[in-house]
Amino acid sequence: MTDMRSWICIISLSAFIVVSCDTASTIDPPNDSFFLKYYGDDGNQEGVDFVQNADGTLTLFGNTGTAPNRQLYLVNVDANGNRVWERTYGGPLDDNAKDIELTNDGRLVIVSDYDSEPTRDIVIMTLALDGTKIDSTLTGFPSGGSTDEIATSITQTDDGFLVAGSTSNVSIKPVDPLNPNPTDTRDALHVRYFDDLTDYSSSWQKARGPGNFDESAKIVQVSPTQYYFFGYSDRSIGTTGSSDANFYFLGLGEFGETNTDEYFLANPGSDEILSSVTIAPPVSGDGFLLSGITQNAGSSDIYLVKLRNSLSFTNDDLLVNKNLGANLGAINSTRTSSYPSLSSGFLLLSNTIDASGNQSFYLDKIDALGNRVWQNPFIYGGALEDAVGSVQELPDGSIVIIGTFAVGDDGEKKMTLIKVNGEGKFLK
Amino acid sequence: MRNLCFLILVLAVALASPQVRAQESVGCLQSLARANDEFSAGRFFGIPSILSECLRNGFSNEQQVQAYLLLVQTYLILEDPIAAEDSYLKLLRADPEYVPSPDKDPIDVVYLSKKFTATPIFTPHLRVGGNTSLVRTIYEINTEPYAVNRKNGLKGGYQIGAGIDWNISDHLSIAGELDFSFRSYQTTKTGISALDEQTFTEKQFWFDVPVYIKYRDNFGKVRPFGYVGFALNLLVGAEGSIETINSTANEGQVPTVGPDEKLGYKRNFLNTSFLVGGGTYYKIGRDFLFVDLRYMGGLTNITKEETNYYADGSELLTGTAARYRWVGDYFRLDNLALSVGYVRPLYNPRKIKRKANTKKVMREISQDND
Repeated sequence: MTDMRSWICIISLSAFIVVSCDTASTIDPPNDSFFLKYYGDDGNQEGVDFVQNADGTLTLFGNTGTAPNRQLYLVNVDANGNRVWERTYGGPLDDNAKDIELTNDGRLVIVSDYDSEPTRDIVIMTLALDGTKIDSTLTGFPSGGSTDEIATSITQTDDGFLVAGSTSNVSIKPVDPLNPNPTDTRDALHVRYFDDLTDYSSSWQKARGPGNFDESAKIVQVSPTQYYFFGYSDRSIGTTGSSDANFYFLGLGEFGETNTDEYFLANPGSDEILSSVTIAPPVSGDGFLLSGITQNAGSSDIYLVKLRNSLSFTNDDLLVNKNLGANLGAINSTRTSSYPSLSSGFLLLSNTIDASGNQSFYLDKIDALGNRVWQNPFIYGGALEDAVGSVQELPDGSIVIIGTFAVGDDGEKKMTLIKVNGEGKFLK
Repeated sequence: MRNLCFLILVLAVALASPQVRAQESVGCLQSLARANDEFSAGRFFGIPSILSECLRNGFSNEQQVQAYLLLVQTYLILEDPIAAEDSYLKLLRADPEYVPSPDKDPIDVVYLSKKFTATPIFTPHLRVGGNTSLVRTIYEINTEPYAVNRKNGLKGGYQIGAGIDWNISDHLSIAGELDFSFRSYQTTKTGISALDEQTFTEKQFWFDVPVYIKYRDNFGKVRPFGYVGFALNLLVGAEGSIETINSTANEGQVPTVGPDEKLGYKRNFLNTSFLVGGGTYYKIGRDFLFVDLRYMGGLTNITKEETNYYADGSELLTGTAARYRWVGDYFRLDNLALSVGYVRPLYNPRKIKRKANTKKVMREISQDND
């Protein structure tokens, strides 16, 4: 009887061990669902933007090195964030990554600023999916000259690319000789290129500048002969004479000429800096979501404008026009990123800074009408100054964020990729 | 005056009592010798009365054993089995470990002994010792997008505890313990961002409740034992010391190191493990010292998946990920412990309830002879 009891105990124990042991076969690999990864070897690396490739990999775009000697840094990673390959590009001076897009025919196009001392020019490169350079061009007015040009985004058109940005050369735009603006400092750029990055027709108007400081954030082609321009300007608006920065948008014709009214979103007393334009899919109500930072007396919030699909450049275009209500603090970077969610609504990414001066990532989700979906936003970051790049949602609903973390007590910058679930959590 | 007389009386008694006891001892020794002589002479009826006085008060423990053994033999010859069993039970109470030998004791005494046991029903013990822990990684979680060199190192710990064996037979027992232990391990990574290094040391505090089945030898001064079982492991505290050294080719090394990080909220409180172990008892008087080597194999992932990336009590990314580039692995923790302890058996001499099986008893006697 005792022997029987002993055997029952031993068999029960063995069964318990076999059934209850946690192994790789009983726990889902966490990296399949969420992770935080730092990219780059020795020194500083910054994360700015990324694209999703058809094979499920991501190509990350940023910088490596320390200003004023940075180079462009491209990293291809698998779905678990593991590095597949990495490349660097750039000259002996300072390169600063701005935007990367995946073209319809499966190439990468990147745009960056290049410091040609003492001013900057714009560099565009097309690359194969393995990072091999196909074409490149450097744009300045003149190239390498004394004016300063920077890019903010690049967009594919039906025959090439459109770069948005700004220039300190305020003479590119048509200037009214009878009404010159002596305090003009910077104009918005909309430079167009053919697919092989050769210059577009010289008749394409490249700049505009209704205010003293103007910058374009995105140019979108809506038909073979119609483009929408989105930017911000400090042009004086209305009877208040307010000359702080405000979002504005207008239509461009096939030669880059203004062919509609300019619509300014006047918010007197605060600066609205446009940094992201997203085309809304039908599930999120169509149209365009414009997001940026509104700043007033040291406090910052996310400013949202949603426009309808077909613009009339009147008040009728405005579907949403509001501050999100995010108390971001006195942030050091006005960059935001938005991305349409597959389910509906949009993901919003910006920086936030706490009372100790630690700047972190701020992730929120809104519905098609700009209302918050999540009860609370998610804050990712540590001590020191972290800076966001961009956010996207993957086909499986998970959220991927690229940016820069300052790691260690010495604050070394690291390109950072965060993958969380559709609710913003490090969980499956 | 009356008080003085009383004091003198007390002192006289106190001074006289060792002498009295010595006289009694000598008298009882003579009684035992006389009883033995009577037994040898075949005069059995008077033996109980010869021994009765000294059995009540006077025999040493060893003399009691001899006296009761003589009484057992006497009653067996007098065909009084009830009195024989009663005397044998009293013998076992005097010496619970007494086992008659077929070589020197009459076979009917040996046969009678098989109806009794003095095996303790419960045997409590105390233990203390040192341990070291081995990490069994389920998933490595790195902030690096490539493989880094990783080495798990051994660190020392300690444990203290108490337990009790429920002896289900002469050789088998089911045991349970409550142990407190401090455990530690270290993980070192190199090749982070090519040149950087990271050292992570975790210190954990556990309450363990092992339950196991033990087989032990029950004869001799040195008695080996072995056991197998499982344990509930309650992780009641954990903290980690992290140092990340940023090495730059041109600028030397910048260490990031700070106060220990609280990690308890990142750990599962309730864990389980299997255990296997063995050692030996060393008999000292009626008690034992023991040495025990135990391997406890963790069965559960210690890392709490829901909080692994977060700061305590919030959904903010933990500072360890950003400051130290550290996020905890999913892992089980094994533990190898060497303990010494003290056992005090709670002897319980008793008649075995089941009916004696003559064949089985004879087989046991035969095995004893072998």
